[in-house]
Amino acid sequence: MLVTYLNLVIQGVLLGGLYAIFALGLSLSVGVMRFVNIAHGDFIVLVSFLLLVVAAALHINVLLALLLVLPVAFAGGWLLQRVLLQRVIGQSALLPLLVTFGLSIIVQNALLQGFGADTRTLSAGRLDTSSLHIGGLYVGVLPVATFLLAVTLVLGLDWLLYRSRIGANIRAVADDVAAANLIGLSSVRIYATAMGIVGVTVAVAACFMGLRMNFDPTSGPSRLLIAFEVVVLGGLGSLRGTLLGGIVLGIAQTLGGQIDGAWQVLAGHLVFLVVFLLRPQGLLPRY
Amino acid sequence: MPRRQHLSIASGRFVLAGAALALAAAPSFLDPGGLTVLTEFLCLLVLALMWNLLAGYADIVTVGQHAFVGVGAYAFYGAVVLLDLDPYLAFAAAALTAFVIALPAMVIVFRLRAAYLAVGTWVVAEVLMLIAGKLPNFGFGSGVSLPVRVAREFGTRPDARFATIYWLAFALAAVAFASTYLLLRSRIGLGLTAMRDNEEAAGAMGVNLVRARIVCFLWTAPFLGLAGAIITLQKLRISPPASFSIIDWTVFVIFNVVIGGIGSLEGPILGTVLFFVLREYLAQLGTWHLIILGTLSIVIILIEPRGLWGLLRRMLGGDLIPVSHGARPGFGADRTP
Amino acid sequence: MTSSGAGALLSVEGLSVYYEQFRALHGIDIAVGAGEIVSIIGANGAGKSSLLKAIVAQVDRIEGRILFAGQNIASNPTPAIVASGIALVPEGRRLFPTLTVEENLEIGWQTGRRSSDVGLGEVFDLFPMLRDKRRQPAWQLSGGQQQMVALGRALLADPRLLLCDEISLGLAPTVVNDLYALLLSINRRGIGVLLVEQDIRRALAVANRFYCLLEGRISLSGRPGDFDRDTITRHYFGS
Repeated sequence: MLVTYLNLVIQGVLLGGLYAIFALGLSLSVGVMRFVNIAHGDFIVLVSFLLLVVAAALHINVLLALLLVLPVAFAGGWLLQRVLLQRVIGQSALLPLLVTFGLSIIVQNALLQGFGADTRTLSAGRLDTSSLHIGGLYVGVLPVATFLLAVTLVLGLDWLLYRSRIGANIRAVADDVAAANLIGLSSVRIYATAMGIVGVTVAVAACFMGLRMNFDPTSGPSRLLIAFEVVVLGGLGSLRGTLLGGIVLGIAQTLGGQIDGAWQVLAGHLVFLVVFLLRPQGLLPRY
Repeated sequence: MPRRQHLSIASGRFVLAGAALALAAAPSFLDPGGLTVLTEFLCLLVLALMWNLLAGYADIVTVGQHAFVGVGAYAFYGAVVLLDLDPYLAFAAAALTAFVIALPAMVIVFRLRAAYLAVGTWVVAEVLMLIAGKLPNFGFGSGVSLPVRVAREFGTRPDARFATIYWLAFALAAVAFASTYLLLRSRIGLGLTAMRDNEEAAGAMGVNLVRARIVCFLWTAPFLGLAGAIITLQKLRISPPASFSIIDWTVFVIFNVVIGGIGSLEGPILGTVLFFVLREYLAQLGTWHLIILGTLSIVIILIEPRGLWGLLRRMLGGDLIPVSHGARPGFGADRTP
Repeated sequence: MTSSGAGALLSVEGLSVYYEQFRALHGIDIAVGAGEIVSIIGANGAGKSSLLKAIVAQVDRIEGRILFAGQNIASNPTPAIVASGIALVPEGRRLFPTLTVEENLEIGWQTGRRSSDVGLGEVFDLFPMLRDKRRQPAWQLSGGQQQMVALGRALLADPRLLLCDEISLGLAPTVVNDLYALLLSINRRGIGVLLVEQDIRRALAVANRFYCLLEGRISLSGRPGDFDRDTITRHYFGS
């Protein structure tokens, strides 16, 4: 009995790693550009389909396809910001919200048009099914690898933001975009770069989501809600918080999933709402 | 104002009044099929007016509006079938339940700042929909049909029934429009308009903006609930995916308001009319329908954030339905020399 | 006038500045010679800040020419202007509050001419007290220290022309004395200074020349010693 629950908690923690990866890009775009990208989940699903196509077309492993797609994702984020989002940010919160809302619906329906409503998964060959046997517990290699990757990404992004020059520029623009423009630091260029980085995290999220769970063209919103809850739970703008937020949500969902599929989602939402009401600043607030 | 503008505004108002009269007389000249479409139009118009009140004036961009439509539908079913209440009393129950659910929802939603608020409302809506799917007396996840006897209460013959349901929708839309108009012209509405255009000016007017936003949020809930009840009566069925449909009760509504013109009363009307016109041609295109609407809304935001009505208003030179008294600058144009 | 015209480091010709319908400057001419300190004085809303912002291309729309070292920079974007050697110390300092002192300063270097002649060391030599605070976020500093960082940030751009917008605002008189002493030593290295200041006495004390703005137009200009106090005050308030 105890072993069963311990096993569930471990699975929940590992799932939380994946959720943290969902959330990293959202956290960054909210923290820097001060808007919530409603299409965040749909972009994750879009890239999952892209990975599916690339891996099939080139007959390569999905993980290799991810390496090819990463620069494309960076360019996609960069272009999206430069061509579209830049025109609507900074005026009011309303316009970017509405534009990304429109994008969300466009992406969902374009995917439906192109791929149909079938449920898909990605496969990385043997990695999908291998598992480790540790002291009476079986844990999948893929979930463990995903979790380790999440930790690496959090630390990597933390380094990028707080130790590198581009990170200092990004934080400067997040602090005071008008001041940045006034002294000749181009916020347009920095926003585009930040969105390119968001694109990279979206691609990683897309790959590991596709390996871990089913997806279809309408899966985006549920991924957005997870990412959103993780960001708020963790504490706005706190990258390490996203890891903790992801774990909390992952455990809640795994335990809820013991009842049925609807409870899995509902338990996650309810735990989010309760924690949010008790601690609106999040679990690991930055300031 | 030049005379030509007076003339075009007057003729615009004439068209608007004519349309209202035609709607009032519709049951006398339309067949049940036409009335059904018109009922749907009026329900979507109510949803558009409410979403516009929140997003266009109260700075509450909700993506969870469908929650209250669903709550209204379920409350109506519960009152009329499970509690065996008089059907007209069940409408009151739908409005009241939506209002009561809005209270705790408000506590959660108002703790979130602007951009987060949108997704927060979505989470609340998901929770309500998932809970609705757990209710044993409401057919769990697959929903349940309204008994024939309930439908009969609104008319034994189908055409009489359609007319009654139409009148209900017409009354709801009329009350929603008139009361929202009055709310926007009250101190609360003027304060919100001032806030949207210039935060400091609103502060100087001494309007309590937090209270004004709360009033708006609670204001919309009963109307959304009533729309949900009427929709249920028309479709004769409740189910979590249909009653809480984000596409039907939120996505389309947002596109309608954005395309028609957010932050005005004319915009939601124009957008909803356009939606029904476009639907005639686009609905059979399936997914392309939503792709086109999405693209159209983005293009319009880029050209004129105040939508088609914003463009039209410039040509006419004034409002058909004046809400604020002064001139209105654009969104967030807060550049100061 | 001594050093206006073709030989000037900065030469503003017929500059008008618009914010939507509002016109903040009405075709003014201003020049700053290399190694000169020029003060712009004027009441609130006279257009002083608009002039500085126009030079770094941070206003809606301008008419006229802005020549810097002989090149018309009026249509260049801000980063290019700063990189060519004009650095602004903005009104209200406008540091990035969550960035450390060092990070704030480095951004100055990055936006500027990226010269190897200047480095953090020079700035810390000028402002020794910043050296100990280099790892502190800027919001923790006092107003005077923040102004030092703002000035240091501009100096790290290795400017040929320094634009200073109200650097004494809200600071204690002794701190302001230090800052102005520093400005003079910066100027002695050959850096031109265009100074916007509400404190007339200070502005005139350090300036080689001055311009007085009144409602977007130049009401008086010349050397500080050429006019008595009353004349300047009259042109300042327009009475």
